[in-house]
Amino acid sequence: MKLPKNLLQAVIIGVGMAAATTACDKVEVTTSDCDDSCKKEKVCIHEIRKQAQYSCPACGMG
Amino acid sequence: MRKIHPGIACNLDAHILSAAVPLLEQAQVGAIEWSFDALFRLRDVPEWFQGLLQAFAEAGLLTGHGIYFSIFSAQWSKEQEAWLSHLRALSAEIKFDHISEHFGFMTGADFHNGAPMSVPLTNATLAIGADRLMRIQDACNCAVGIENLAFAFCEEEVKQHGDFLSRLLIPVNGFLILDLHNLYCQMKNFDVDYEALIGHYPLDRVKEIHISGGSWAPASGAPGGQVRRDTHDDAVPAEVFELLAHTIPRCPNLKFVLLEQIGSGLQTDLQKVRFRQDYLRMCAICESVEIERDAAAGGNNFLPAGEFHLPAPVEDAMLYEQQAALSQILENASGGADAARRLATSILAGTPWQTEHWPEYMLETAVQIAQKWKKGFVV
Repeated sequence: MKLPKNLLQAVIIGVGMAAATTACDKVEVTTSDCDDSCKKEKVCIHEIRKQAQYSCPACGMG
Repeated sequence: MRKIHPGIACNLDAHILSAAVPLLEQAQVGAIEWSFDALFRLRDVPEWFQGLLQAFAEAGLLTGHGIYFSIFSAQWSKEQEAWLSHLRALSAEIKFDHISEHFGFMTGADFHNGAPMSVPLTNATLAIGADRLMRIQDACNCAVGIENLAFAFCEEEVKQHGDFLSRLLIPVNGFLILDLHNLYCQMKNFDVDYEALIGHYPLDRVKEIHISGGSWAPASGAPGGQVRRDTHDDAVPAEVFELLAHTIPRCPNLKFVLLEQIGSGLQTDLQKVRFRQDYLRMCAICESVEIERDAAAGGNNFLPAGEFHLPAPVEDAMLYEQQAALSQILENASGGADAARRLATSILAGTPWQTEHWPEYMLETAVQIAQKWKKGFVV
């Protein structure tokens, strides 16, 4: 599919910026996502992998 | 002849996207599949990615592929309710050609954790699966489908998987995503022929085919001493391309053929080049192979005849207990032998799970997968 020129340009810039970022995101999660180390807190900050390093178990054999 | 749209599984992943950019520039990408539930911890999807999704959606070339709904969980959860609400809202904003999910139940104690494992292929699990597919259809208001699972505990299960999928999809008039690398894993792990398996799948319900690469793990007792795993982190094997060429003609309702690879397998320039080569090889096969479309089998839009009557979600307390026990064993066993010992004295022994027939090398694999994904993708 042919993408509009301005969209393609935005994608190229966006991907370039995402690829250049390697640090972890710090993301607030609710306590239901916590483990034993922090489940007493109301709101915790967890470090999660950036989407750049994301992989998933969907296939069931990964 | 109806057109097949070749495409890529494309999530908000810098490696996948940077590998795909040259293909996007050359207008080679014919469709995008987005795992819309993989971003649940990310608050803001960048505008440019939204724009990319929207452009494909407007052309009818965006498909949604869920990961975490856990179709066969025997107990209905508030997280599944939230997942459906999210899908309902998203479907009002962006037009998916269809929505699909994976076969199995998630082993993790919490939503978004664990890996999908198979379930006994019984009328009880069939009722749960059909109920969940109807709920997904009700939320997204478009065609709904399910993907065959790569993992199987035993050969008998592999041989029954296709027929079970067929029965599962009829009530919702759903479609099948036939993942050929998943099929390849089953062929290799149980030394079964393609022809012996493919005939059991409802090929007239295949709307989408997936291909991908994977990896080998040493496993004593397995055919050839190794287990094929669908890790999506390497190039597509030549044999899977052959399977694609053999399978396309037999799928009269095929619309999409997608290449899946995860970002961690696309970090080097060489890996990205191989990804694009695989993609173009896939496109060439899609163009060169003709589908045997017969009037009787073709033309299914995979929409239900009418609205579903959806009473309380189907649940099965005993099956749920068994799923919880299996998850606990897989997540805590020291290996396949230990898992087998634990299963022999568990509530799964002597049940339709038929754990007595599970070879140790596949139990070992199940332990590895469940423990790898126990914490989802949290560091």
